[in-house]
Amino acid sequence: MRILLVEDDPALGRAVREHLTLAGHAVDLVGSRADAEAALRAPGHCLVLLDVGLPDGNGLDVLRALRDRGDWRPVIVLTARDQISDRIEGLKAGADDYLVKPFDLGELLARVQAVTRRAGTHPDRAFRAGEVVLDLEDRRASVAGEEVTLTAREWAILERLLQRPGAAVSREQIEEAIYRYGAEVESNAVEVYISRIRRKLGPGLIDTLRGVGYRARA
Amino acid sequence: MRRLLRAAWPRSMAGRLGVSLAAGLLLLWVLSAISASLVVVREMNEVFDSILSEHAQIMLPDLMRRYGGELDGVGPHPVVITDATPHDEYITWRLYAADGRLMMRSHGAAEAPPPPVGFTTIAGARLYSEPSTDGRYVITLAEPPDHRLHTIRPTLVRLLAPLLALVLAALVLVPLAVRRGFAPVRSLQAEIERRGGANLDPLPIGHLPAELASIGDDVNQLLQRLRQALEAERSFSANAAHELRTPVAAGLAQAQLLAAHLPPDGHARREAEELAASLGRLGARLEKLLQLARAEAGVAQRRERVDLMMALDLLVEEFRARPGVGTRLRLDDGGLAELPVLADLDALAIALRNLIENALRHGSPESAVEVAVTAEGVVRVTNAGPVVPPERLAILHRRFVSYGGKGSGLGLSIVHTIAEQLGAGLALHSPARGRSDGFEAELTLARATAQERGLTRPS
Repeated sequence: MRILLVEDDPALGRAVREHLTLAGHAVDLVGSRADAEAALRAPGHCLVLLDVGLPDGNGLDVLRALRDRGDWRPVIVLTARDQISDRIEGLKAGADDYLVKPFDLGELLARVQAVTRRAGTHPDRAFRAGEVVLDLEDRRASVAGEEVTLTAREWAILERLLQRPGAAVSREQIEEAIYRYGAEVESNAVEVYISRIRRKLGPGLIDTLRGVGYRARA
Repeated sequence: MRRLLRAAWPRSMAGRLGVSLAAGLLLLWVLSAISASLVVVREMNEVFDSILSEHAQIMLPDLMRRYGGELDGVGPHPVVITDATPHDEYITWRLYAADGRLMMRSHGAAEAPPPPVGFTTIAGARLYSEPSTDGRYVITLAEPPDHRLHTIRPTLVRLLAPLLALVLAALVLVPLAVRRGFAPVRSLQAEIERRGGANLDPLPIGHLPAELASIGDDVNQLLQRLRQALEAERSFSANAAHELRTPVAAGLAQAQLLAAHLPPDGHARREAEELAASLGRLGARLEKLLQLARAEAGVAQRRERVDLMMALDLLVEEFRARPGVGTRLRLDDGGLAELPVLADLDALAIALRNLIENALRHGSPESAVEVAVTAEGVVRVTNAGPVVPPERLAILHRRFVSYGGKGSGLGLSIVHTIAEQLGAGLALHSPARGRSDGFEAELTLARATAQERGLTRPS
């Protein structure tokens, strides 16, 4: 797998690159925000390891820009910022995982594999979790073989969550997805739709990440 | 009495000013009333006295001229002079012979022995006696008792009543004026009360009067210094974290890489692995010291409405992702969707992180660590394991005191410092309650109500 590693500390960057290379990945190492943005304009990398404190800017801004243009490639944030508010900010910016320095290289590799596995679970836009089967292409859903009818907005929310199974999606992002289907969005609309989906498809499909948003269970 | 006065003395500046002004006005009125009365009484007495003496001087020669002949023939009964129409006399008169015999009197005058020459006051009546130039007669003029009082009293009332009305009006107006005058003080007080915790914004001082503006200015300077100090501490911690963690991360990664390159089972491999382990411990120790620095800088004094459940969810997820933890860590959220508490989110997370970390480190390796929350804002972190003796339990929150030599001995001291600043209760139990072994840490947080003012959700 081709990985983009954004890390401005050369010693750490080289060590991580070599370790991932030994594990069979192709790693491109860049040390600045500008280089990271340039590299991310092309679709070549399947995964991004992103440092937050870059000499020419904040790594989270790179991540936000990526998500804003609808790029859902998995991103693991590597950072020296260990406060819970930093972590929330990272997850809200669209990070799939958040690893605080110093980290064990073995753990980094495990996280890379976990994130990649989650991201690769729906290549044909079909999704299966326990007894729930969702076909996003044909908009068909079934629970234990029984067909279930979902509304357009419920599908919009599911599609948004299943773009990145296992990754957090904020309330605002879900609201935006509902907006595309027109009409006003009530302040508690997201909670209402999520609870309807849970009623139809069972409680195990969508997790609530308090303070962050929701995610489809990977 | 003094105690009673002290109890009645208002505590507020406005009240004190109001009472002082009112009391001062009343006192001034009483003093001016007394002095005005004295002056009026003296002046009027002079006028009345002068009337008496002038009358005597005019009447005596007149009487002698008119009745001079008859007087010599007056017997034992004096002549009584009456007018054609009966009337009250304001001034009565008596004429005596030099030997004290009463010769004549006005009809209103009583028969009485002659008073001494000059002014005298007998039974409230004012008398004036003057001898004739030849010394044969003495005339006495008398003003009845209370005559002067009846004259002076309405004068004084007319003089002092408007003043009293003015004072009474002032007693009503003074508190109103004081209240109005103190409005800026009250608004400043309310603004200062609103400060603290999450709100360290400068006070609005543009509308304040000059005296208060300087106080507001000083408070603003203090607030700014406090804000700067807190910001400096936060940014120092963030910078220090970055500056220290990154090289340790690089060292650890390189040591692990070096170990991976060396032949297994060799001496050099073990050395490299040992180096990596040391760097890992250095990283952990660094984290503790940075947490301690943050805690001691008072970052936990900030207050905002934060969701305890959100913090616990994120922490539990973070710990579960660590090797060897997974389902060993259990969260019993008591069925609560959210639990708003008043705290600084980061400081709260540091405290909870340390409690969970301790439980995972000191608990029996295969047993579960339970994190339980109640709706009252109580978090209990419980682990199985050997009982901590009471004398050890009592000093566990001190710095560099660890149980069983595992860990830095800073974790509980950090939790203790943060709990104190959060105003949260921290109780340690061993054995854990409801068990015969293990350890339980209980953190009781201040629940936030929906009405908490000036507080924002961090999400």
